[in-house]
Amino acid sequence: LTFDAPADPLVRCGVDIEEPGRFRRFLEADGAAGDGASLIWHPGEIGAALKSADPCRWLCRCFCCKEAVFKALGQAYNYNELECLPHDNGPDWRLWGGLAAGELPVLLDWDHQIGLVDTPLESRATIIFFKRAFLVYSK
Amino acid sequence: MSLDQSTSDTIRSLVYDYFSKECDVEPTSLTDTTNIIEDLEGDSLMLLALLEIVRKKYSIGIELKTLGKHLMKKPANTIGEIVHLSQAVVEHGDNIINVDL
Repeated sequence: LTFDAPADPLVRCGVDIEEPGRFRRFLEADGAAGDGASLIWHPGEIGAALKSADPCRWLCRCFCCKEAVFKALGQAYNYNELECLPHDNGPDWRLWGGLAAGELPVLLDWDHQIGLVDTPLESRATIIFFKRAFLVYSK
Repeated sequence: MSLDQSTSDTIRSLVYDYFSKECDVEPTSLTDTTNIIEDLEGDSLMLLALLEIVRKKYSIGIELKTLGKHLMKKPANTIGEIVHLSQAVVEHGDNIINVDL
């Protein structure tokens, strides 16, 4: 789902749904990550996935969050520069490379809320970015 | 690298075979105007997996952000557009963003 946002929006939204089974292709027969995995996931995510009980599910939820973020921003980027981090209160991320350097300023300058529903059958991620001035105004 | 006719045809076949297998449809039912999302229920994961196949087969180095920027300028929604995109990726690599296709 992609939103055609106005040129200067106050809020940006992204939604994604993924099935863990589809991510099996990125794992080798012996359970290691295949070559293509490094294009999408940060090494930290791959390492965490391979240590988890269900690597496909781990890769799936990370990808789901990335997709939601890029849909909200209206542009795909280097997926492996957005490292999704699991937290008790929901996922968050760490930026690398060009993203950390501010190539997509919204990621650094805007507030965000992200929701993730994660089951063995599917992951659903919703992200909302708020322009900080909008939040102040709303209060 | 400049594409010869044989390589262009190989890439075309690769794209058709890929979507036929991924979407479980007969290759003969696909045409250049088949819409990936509306007709085949495809998504970005399919495109990423296809890109990885192309990258591996032709040893191409291209960043996803480059591809993302290119797709902003020139969206690829149909099989034919994906074929052209894949051929352009092989021919131009990361320089695809500077080429007026």
